[in-house]
Amino acid sequence: MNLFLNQLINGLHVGSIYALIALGYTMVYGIVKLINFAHGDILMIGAYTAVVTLVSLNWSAPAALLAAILACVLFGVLIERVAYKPLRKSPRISSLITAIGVSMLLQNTALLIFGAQSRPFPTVLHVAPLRFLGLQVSFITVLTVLVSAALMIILQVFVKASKAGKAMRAASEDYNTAQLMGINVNTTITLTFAIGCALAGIGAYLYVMAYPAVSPTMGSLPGLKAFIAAVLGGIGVIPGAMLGGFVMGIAESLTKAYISTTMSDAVVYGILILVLLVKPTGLIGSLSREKV
Amino acid sequence: MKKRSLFSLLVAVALILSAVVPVLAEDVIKIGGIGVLSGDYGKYGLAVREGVDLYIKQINAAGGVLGKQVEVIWEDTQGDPAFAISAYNKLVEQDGVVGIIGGVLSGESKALAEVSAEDGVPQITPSSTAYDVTTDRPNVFRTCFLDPFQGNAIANYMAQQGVKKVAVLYDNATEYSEGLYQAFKAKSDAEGVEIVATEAAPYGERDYKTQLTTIKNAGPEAVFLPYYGADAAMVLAQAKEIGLDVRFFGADGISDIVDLVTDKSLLTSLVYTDHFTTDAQSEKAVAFVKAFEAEYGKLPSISFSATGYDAILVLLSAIEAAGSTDKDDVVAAIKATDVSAVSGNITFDDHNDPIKSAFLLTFDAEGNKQFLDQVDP
Repeated sequence: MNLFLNQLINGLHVGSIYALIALGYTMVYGIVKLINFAHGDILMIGAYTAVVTLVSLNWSAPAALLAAILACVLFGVLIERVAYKPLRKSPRISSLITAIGVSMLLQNTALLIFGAQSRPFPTVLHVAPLRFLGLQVSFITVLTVLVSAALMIILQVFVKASKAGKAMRAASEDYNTAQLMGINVNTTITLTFAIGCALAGIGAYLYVMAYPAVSPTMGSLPGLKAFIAAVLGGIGVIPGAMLGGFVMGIAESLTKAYISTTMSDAVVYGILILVLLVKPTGLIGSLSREKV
Repeated sequence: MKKRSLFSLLVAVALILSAVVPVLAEDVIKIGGIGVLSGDYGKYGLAVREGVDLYIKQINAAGGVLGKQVEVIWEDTQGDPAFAISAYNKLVEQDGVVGIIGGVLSGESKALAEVSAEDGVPQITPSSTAYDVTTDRPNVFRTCFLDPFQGNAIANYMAQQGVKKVAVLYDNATEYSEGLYQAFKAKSDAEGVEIVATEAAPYGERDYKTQLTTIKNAGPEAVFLPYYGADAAMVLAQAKEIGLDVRFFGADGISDIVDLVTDKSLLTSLVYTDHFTTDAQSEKAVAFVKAFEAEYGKLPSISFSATGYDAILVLLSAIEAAGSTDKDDVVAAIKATDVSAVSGNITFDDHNDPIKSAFLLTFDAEGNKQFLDQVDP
């Protein structure tokens, strides 16, 4: 029983990181119908910012976190303005390919600047593991799960209740009408990118705390998994991203523990295919979906 | 006969000229260096290159080989066996190299050996420890010991230390890790060390907590970890996180872990087999460490610098002994090698493997390597 609980907690840990990144995918998709493939690389930018400010500039851990978030937001907004905005009226495939191009640009630029060697991330939290009910759970795990859950709730409230959130929902429902109603759609889209990237910045920090190595291609795999989490939960729906992330993480962990360590990806993708066959909109996506 | 005397005259002229005039292109012996020089495993190839380049610099300063200067042309495989083959084709066909140092990883060396065996071009790998790299390939040699040997050595050492229950976490997708696991398993069974859990995770997985939780649950006294440093660094950090407090045993590939962890105290629980130790007392080894430090301003922290130095030493000594760069003569001369090199005395057995010792090392809390034991074949 303890083993099962431990594995469940391991799954929750990975899952909540997927979820945090998936939020960025899902928000952007909800409003501009763009799958932002560069989102995983935003994670990489956050991780490099954190490691450079922490190690080379000797900043404190919270300052480095703040720097990581700011760098992610800055790059996210910049990419949106430079690469995606000019293509907003062109066919969707153009912006999709641009997104892949941006992703490669970011990875290779990082490769040029930092080299291919991965850099270790220092230990920033010296907190003893928590023990309860005979379980030992690391503090990073607890922190990651709590932070992701809290951020999702805040985001949900923000989108439902705040004025800017209402503008986001309106823009996602009907872009042109929203404009006619006096909503500054451009600002709204920029805001969406900024929020998604800020979450990726926090996700990056949590990710390198758990897996302390930073390299130019580190964003690809979690980016891909998070994208799948977003699709699994129902892309465009915020709680869907969270649910998808958790389902993926737990499925991965339990497959590794009880079926086979090498089968975990096959099982996870199998689940994705099954869900999409039965419910093409994802676990909690609906046809008349209210995006974002 | 006439040709030969003309040749030796040319050699003599070249010898005299090389001292006073810049070397002409034709007077250079070209060697191809093939290996992973970038990416996560790049540091192994770079370590090899530092060792090789150091020897080249020394021998060129001492007058070169057969009176000619030696040049090594490096090609990066990025760890991909397919790139290794295209690098080989380029080096042999375009550059006209007379021998190959490489590959660095076992996968790329096997691919290379496949094509070099057809041409008969002498190939020496400084670091590929998988058994079958040299099997049925008379032109392929190595200057490192083998996976079966290290697997045995580690299982033996565990038995000596009184370890009864051990778990294995390995990468079933790379030949290196798989080969070590098989060798270790065979020996530990024979030594009465019980394997209580066997878990696998592919390279670059990053998240090993699920596997480590399963291992912790099986209650081993030690974990065998045939990984490279980057993965092992993750494993050690996550083992601490979930409270798996046992000793970890790795093989030569783990030796670069020092630069990949910030909390060096994690390393005190790690024991591994290495090809070389900077504490080695032999005259050659002491001179190598000194020259390496003078050249690069650091200690040769990855032992493949030493085996790389030995690989080029063996190749160039063989060319010198053969008196030509004819590939069959050189291969025969390599086979007959008996030199005292940096990582030990090198002679080759029937399988083209060197017969030499392994060193068991561990780390102190500052991340400095500590010598534990020497295992002889």
